[in-house]
Amino acid sequence: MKTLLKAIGWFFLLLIAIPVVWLGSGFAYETWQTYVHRFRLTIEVETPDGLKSGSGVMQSAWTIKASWIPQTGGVIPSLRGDAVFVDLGNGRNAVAILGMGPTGSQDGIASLAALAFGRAKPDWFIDAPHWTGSAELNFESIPTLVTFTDLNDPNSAKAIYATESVFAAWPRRRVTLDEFATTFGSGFRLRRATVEMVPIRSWPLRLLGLGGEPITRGIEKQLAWITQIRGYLNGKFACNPSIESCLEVGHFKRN
Amino acid sequence: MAVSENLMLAILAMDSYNRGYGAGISTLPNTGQLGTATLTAQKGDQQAQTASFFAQAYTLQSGQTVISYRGTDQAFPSWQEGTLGDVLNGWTAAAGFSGVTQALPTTPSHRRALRGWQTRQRSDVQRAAPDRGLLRVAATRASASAT
Repeated sequence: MKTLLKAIGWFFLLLIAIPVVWLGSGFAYETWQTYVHRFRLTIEVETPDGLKSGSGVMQSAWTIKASWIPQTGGVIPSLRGDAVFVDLGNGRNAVAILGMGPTGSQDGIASLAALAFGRAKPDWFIDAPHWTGSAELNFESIPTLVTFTDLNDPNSAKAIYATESVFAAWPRRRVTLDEFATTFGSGFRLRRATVEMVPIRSWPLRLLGLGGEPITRGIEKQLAWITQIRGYLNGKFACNPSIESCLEVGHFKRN
Repeated sequence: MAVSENLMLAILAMDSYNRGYGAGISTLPNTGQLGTATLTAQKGDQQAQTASFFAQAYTLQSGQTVISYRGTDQAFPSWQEGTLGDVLNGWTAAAGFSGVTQALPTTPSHRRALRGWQTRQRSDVQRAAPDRGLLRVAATRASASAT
């Protein structure tokens, strides 16, 4: 009887221990295989009153997934940071959102450093934490820029600069929208966007977001409604990028 | 060569992993056509991302709406993303916890919202074939997982 109880005890112990070890190993692997870098995105706009610019530090993290866990393979990119606000004067503004494409529905901001430095090769993110210096983004890789006619109205956003993925013979991007002059008048022009690598602390401090150049926060000072809205700005549950703007809170702030 | 309906639904089930945020093939657009299916609404905002959830709706040539859900793409919680991952948000649904965050957007009211404009334009088709596409995709994905 005692032996039987012992056997049942071992059975239940293994029943718990095996999944815990299996899942725990995957979690530990993915925590270890997370590569983090930070960069400062600067947007410069020419105006009749001179050059105006805005910048913000963002954090890009790439996690290599554990292949023995039932999930899709590859890597998970993630981004933390705020959209970059550029005050153009006289109530005009331009905001570089955390998205790409004419409706902001395309990813790619987490890869900005690779695009700027021309190093978008397989597993580039493993070396990225060691990169230094700054580089200019080509015009096809600049994030979508929007303007608000009324900063207090999230639905007054209008895209003024956008690029789009073109999946033809090989993937590439092209500028599909540039309405600085038509929106603000002559003399307004997107001059350039740069990416500057900034330091980040080593593991494990980076897991907690501690140390290094701090991520820029504070977009809610300009866009106060950020703290009140969840999901898409138009209030809908879902979005159809073919016919409407897919701007959502995550395009302006990612914690 | 005509693609069978089951194959098309299987392709659409797979395609949701290549659209929206965190797409497997990041260069695919979120609009346009996939074969004879037209991409329509999607749910991939930050609310969905926090739950590691994504859904893409398609309209078939017949007018039928198919909603393809993505779930098993990120198992673990992420400090970097502030997400809880599929283990806590989705796997627990298998144990009967229907209130988990990945299951909530699949409720009938949210499905109606996801196909929004479609419902208004083709309400007759929706009444004739309620959720058949969704169920077929779910069945296809279940059989694909089983193999």
